[in-house]
Amino acid sequence: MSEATMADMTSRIEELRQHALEQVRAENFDEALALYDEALGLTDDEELRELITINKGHALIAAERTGPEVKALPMILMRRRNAHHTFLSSYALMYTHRLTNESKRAIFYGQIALEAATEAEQTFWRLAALNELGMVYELDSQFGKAIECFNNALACLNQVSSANEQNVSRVAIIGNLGYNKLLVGETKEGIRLLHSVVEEMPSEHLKADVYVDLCYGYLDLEQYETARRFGDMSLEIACEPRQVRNAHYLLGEAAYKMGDVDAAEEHFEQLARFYPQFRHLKSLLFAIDLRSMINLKL
Amino acid sequence: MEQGEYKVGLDTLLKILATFDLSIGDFFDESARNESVVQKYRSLSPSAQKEVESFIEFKRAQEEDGSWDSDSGESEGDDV
Repeated sequence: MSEATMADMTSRIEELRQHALEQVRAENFDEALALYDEALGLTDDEELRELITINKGHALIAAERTGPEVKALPMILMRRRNAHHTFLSSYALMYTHRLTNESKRAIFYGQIALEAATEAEQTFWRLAALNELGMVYELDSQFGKAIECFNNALACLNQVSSANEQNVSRVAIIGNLGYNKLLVGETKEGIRLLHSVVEEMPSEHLKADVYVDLCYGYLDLEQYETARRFGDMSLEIACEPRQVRNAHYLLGEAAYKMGDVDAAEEHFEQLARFYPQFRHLKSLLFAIDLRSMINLKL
Repeated sequence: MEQGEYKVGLDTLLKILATFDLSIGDFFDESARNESVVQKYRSLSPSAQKEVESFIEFKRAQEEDGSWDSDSGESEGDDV
């Protein structure tokens, strides 16, 4: 193969890879996976194949699937071919263990990702690792550490050059920071942060989470009318059962605390429908406030 | 984990609590029964309430004495 043809091929592979990354960001996973396969079919270069394998592994994880590329990630990480591959593979492993609620393993890989990003002096990698690691600490109920990660991630923001990357990251990090502030009792600050980003959330799914966080925060401030307003807004756009359950539970609590027993009964009844075998759930909810025991993101 | 406080998802928490459903049910059934007895008592006139209290005292004294067996009334007939 001539040098010119080689250069064309390398450029075509990179084009496919970049297109696949865009498809992953748009959650078009099947398209992304097909593009990665096409790219893998065009190259014998080991380093490039390893990079595409990591990218494909990440896409599979994001699609909540598995495959040989996901299984290859620990081996790729151990190989530590270069800082970029070390960062990407450890980040993907942190991500998959977060999704499966294996917080200790996720923290282990997250720390490797953070070290790799710091050593490579790559601000955006560091920012991404800190935000993800913060979510893992939150999952593990280490809210102080989570807040530290989100604050450090925010500090990286000003050094990120792309305005688009900067805005998407800012909204996500502040949303995470706001919720964790609620969990450590800094309720007013948490609410302020959540209000500052709620309307910029890039999807209904994320917005529903922030609305229910606000409901939780206002409940804590005993501002029950406002809590109910945000609970209702969350319920209106809730995309998954977790969000529906959280909204009904918090709306039931807010209604009960306002003395609106009928509304509380209705919301607790809706929640109880998820647990038909739990006959005394409603009685329990009327008797005990479970808010201090729950993490709305799980 | 900080301050010994570990938070779980609402779904996980309710699934854990569901395994105690029977005990929770006993607790609420017992509470409901107690409440119902107290309410009935309160709905009585003062003189009727005094009668109930006297009857309770009578039953308590009987049981403490040990001279009274709840099955004795029925068993007398069985021996005939």
